[in-house]
Amino acid sequence: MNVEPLLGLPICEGLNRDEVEVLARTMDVVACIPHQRVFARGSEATACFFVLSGEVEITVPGRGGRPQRIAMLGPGALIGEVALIDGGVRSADGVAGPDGAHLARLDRDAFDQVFRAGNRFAYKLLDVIASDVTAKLRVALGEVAAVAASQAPLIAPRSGDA
Amino acid sequence: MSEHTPPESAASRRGVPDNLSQFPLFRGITGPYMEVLRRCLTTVQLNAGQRLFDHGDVATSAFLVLTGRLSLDMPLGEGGSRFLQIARLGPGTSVGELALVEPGPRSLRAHAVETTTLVRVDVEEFTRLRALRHPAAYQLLRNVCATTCGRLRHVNTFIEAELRGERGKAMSSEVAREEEATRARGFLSRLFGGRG
Repeated sequence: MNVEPLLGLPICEGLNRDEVEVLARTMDVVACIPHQRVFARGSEATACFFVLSGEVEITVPGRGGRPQRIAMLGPGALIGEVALIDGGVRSADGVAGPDGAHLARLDRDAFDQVFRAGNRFAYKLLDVIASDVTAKLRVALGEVAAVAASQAPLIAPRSGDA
Repeated sequence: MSEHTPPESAASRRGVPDNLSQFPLFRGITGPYMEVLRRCLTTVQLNAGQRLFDHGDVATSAFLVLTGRLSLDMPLGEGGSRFLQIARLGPGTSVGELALVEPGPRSLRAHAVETTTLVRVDVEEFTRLRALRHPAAYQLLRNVCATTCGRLRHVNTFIEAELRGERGKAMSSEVAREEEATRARGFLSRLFGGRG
């Protein structure tokens, strides 16, 4: 894809044009018409997306199976980045907004390639993913831990504990 | 409070085994990259009952269990005097690795239940390598991400199935709440790779 749309993304701030060009050669632009499905919950996750224009609605099944919106992501947003780390399946549905969307797609194989080459973008993207999943895991674990502790048999304090 | 830190001696560095890349935390890190990463690594030996880190400690390390067993305990309520054991961690499991992404206070407590040997990754030295954009640091970070992503998927699935989905219809019953708490404890134990 052309390098120009990528240069405006927050993730590319601080990178020089050559580094972004390496990246652009590995990415494709996906043009979505209004309400077009970008990815489906349960499908194999093989790529992440950067929103170049328009919006993508992220939903999960709510009560009665009706889609429940959990996010509406606009230009600059990163979507489905966990796919670059562990593959697996999509945990939510992604659908283009009412005005459609243009997305830059980065496949996991391409990410592996630039990561192995020591590309700064790949490292920066990994920094973002690491912070994001760590924060999410801490919140989610806190939720489960609160339930686990609610009816818990206790361990007596060990000698020497405060 | 600060967590357990080993003496910075040649002996503690010599104790770091050569075959670390067999463990998920060090997967893909070999040859010259491992040699560089060794700057961050020492070994720690704990006796039974000895604390590795406490809830609230500033996290300065990540650990890999080589031999022995750790107990991982969660604090109950405020005060920090009552704990719930959520897992026992054996050889090959890592603990405290989120400190490599973003250092912060420990949310759990860990102590040895028998004589235990661990590889310690020093967060400060690792952060220095990461700031230099060294491939060894980023491969380790990617491994931590892989573990974290896997755990996040499991936690989200559990929350959807066990907590959000069932809560509305079942939580009026005391028995149901107790069963839910038991499932949550079992889940945490499995999540951290422990044997309960």
